[in-house]
Amino acid sequence: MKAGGHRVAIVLGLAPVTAVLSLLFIGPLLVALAQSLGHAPIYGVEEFPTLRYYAHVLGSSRFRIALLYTLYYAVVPTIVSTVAGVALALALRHPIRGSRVLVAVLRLPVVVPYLVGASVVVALFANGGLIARVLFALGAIGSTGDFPRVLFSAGGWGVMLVYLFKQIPFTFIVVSAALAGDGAQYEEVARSLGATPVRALWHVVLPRVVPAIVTASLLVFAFNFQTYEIPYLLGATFPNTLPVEAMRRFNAADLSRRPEAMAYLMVITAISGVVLAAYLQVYRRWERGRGRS
Amino acid sequence: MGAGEGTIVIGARSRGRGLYSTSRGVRVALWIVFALFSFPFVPLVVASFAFRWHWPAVVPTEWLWTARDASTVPVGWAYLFSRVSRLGPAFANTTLIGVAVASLAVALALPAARVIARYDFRGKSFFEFVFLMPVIVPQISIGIGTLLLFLRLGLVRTHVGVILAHLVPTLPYALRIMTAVFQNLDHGYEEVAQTLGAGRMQRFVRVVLPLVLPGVATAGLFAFLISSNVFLLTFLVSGGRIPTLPTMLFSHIESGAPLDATTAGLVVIVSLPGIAFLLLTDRLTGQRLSLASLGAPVQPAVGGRR
Repeated sequence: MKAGGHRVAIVLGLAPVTAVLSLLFIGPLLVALAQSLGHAPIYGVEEFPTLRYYAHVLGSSRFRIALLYTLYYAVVPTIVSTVAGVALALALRHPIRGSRVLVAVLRLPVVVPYLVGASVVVALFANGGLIARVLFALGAIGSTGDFPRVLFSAGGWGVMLVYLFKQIPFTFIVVSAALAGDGAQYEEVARSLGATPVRALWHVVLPRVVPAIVTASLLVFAFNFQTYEIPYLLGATFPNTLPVEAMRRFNAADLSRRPEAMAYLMVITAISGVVLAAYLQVYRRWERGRGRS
Repeated sequence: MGAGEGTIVIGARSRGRGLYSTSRGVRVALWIVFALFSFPFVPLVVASFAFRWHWPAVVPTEWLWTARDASTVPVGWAYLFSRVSRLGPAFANTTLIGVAVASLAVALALPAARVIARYDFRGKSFFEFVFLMPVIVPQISIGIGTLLLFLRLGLVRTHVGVILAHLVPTLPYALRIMTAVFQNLDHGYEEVAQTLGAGRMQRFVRVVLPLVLPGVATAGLFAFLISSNVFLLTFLVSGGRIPTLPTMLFSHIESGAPLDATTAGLVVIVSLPGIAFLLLTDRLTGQRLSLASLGAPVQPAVGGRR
């Protein structure tokens, strides 16, 4: 329906959400931005506008190391959960015996907090955790020290395991819903016209669910890039991710370091935005190349 | 772009056909996946009933019920259900905040979703883009910014502050789900009611509302789920004064040992809102509702056919 005589209805409809998000979403970002530019009179910082804090953050080697680790902890689980989640969705696209139970099991990790995933990973993979105990009982290791350090190490295996625990099921669910949506019968058509199972999968089934795959992987990356509590709890003291570094500066006893923390936040936001925009751009170009859009 | 359709899958279940056979290898792989995702909860449930489970025991050496008289301080479930643990307030806070956030999110999203679904207007895609931003913008930036803003407004360490903070991550979901509901709505009924002489208010209350009610309930449940899972925003805005289930679990993981009975019991409690969500959405008005709506907010940006 065209807007025509409904301008009042449109404005009234959008006004409440717009007002609330301006105050609670844009507002906080502007406060952080102002502080990062040197406007923080309550901490005795009043040098607005200055880029000194950005220069300080971007010039430090600690920032560059944290950025590399943030990207590493974000990208690796995104790739693994996308591949595994899509494979699972494809394997389960036609019901088989027991698939209902498996789907029910996969729904649980999606609806519990990431902190539940952290507890699960600690219980299993800590040096005194269950897997180490089973290995000890089997005689494979002689003490807790022989178990490889999965948690609190720069390798970040503990952090990434938590992400995978939540995100493989999440990707599976988003992609499964797309597979079950309109057009599920095209595979059958392709097969009955003589396409081999692999050709039907590659040329008919997969292209139809690419938007769902992009949606899931985009959300997964956006989450992994900015999460604080999981790398804080299960990552190394140093090096760790940008959000952990930002929070450390925010909580520093010296309050005049807070503008530096705000510069960290703005940089995290900007990098995340650039990566996501670039990803969407690549995807759109691919869609155009295929003649849709 | 066809945003909206397919975000809520109703009665979608592919039919089994002899045409497809799943190979033995795939079946074995699926059983391994089943084991990987169902096993992790077992040690935690066992641990929650353990009194003594030190290295290197693979199973607890003493259970809660055999040690009840021996222990001077309550452990595990006994501790969690005692006054000292503060689990009661945390559970009450999570529920109260979740219900308030869900009601507010639905009330705010309903008029906006109706407008987005019904009308084409200039700036529509801009609004849709802005409404999805809170899902994409780093939570830590919003969280610390909110803390600084709320310090000035006197909202830090208040329930109202936490509820307002939770609106930001929940509104995009409420909006997308409700927009899909209004897009699937058949306007014929409303027109029939109009020709039969129903006024604007009467049409909304007697015709539109009953039709969208299942969708409204769905949006509310998603908002409740997200609110009950949020950690960082609560942690920052509550200043440690308003314990919720996630913030309580955070402090226990921070200080507890692996397979600690209290943390294990708490994990079970913290999972309850999610389990309740799964049970409720399965029952809801006979519709099979897809968890895939958790991907819905970014779909206007991704677009494409679904």
